[in-house]
Amino acid sequence: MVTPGHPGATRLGRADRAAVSLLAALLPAGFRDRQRDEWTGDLLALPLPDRRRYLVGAARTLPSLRRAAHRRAALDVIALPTGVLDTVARVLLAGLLWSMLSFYFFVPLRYYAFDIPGRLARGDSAMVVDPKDLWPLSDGIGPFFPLWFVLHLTAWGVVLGGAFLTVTVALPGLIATAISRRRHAAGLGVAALLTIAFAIVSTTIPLLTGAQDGGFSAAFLGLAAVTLAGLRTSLPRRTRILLAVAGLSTLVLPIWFGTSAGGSMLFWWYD
Amino acid sequence: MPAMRMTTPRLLVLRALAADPGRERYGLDLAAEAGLEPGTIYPILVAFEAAGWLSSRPEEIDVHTEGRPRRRYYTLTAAGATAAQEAIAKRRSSRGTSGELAW
Repeated sequence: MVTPGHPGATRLGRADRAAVSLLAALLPAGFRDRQRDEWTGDLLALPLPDRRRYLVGAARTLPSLRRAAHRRAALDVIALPTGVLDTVARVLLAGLLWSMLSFYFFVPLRYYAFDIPGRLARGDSAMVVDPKDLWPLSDGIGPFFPLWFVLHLTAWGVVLGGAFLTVTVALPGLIATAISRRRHAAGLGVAALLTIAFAIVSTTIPLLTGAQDGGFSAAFLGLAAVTLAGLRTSLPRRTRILLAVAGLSTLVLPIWFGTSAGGSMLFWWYD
Repeated sequence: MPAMRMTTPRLLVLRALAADPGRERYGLDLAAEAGLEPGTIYPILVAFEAAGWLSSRPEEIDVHTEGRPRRRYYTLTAAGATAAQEAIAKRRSSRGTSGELAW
């Protein structure tokens, strides 16, 4: 058994990195990243003196690896690369988490925390304090305006669904993913297209059926998030849990918005 | 899929996998068990995977926390286990009764 992570050899030297990059560049594009990770992981686990011998062995068998990779690629041409679906999952996680937190904070939290249903029931229509005007607007917009604006717009995105939700989920998700994961532009582009495709489908279905969005767009994206959380075992456990939580938090919306309590809450928000 | 040519390195890998069919192993680990030169096992693993004899999955780690890429874990499939038994038996019958594999 080879021990992973040999002590004192936690980083590849420049020459080893260059050799791995060169070997990987000679492989089919769809297979390159996977094999680069395999080689890099192995080299990191090997003592320094054994690394050259390893690279010589890898170079010697490169032609047969190329042939095998081509044969394998021919078998699963319709399968998406692992990295793309993982990137979609991360985009959905960042976008949905941000959107749903904004929505829950701006709409139901303030609606119930300030007892709006009770005030409306008591006929207190001329509220002394309208929660929609509380923080940060109570102290004037000032330096909080950009934060308030983005959060507010994101909450609207969840309520309106469709194209608004496309923007509020896809853009922050893509930005956060690009910053944190330093993904390749091509992979991120594919992930962006898939995410937007999800959002477009979620917009089109309610439009074609003549129904108002009613939280279905968010629920559609949430269902995709829950599915990815369940299936993408390559993602870290914490990411999968957060993705599932973000997804599940959307699934109640179509039911909630359809109730009289949910309808009243949205009516207050729209007002 | 054409019939796979059974070379000695491929048989060594199959034998190592068949010794504990349910266990997941990564490439370097498996190369050491099979007695192959490190770095030379991947063409065999990819060919076996394409033949449906192996399944693989990436390791569940956060690469930024761990500071290394994900490993890929390989497991023998049911078809692979059958193919391994047949290939090893065939080699034994063609080489006498010892069944030892060597370079």
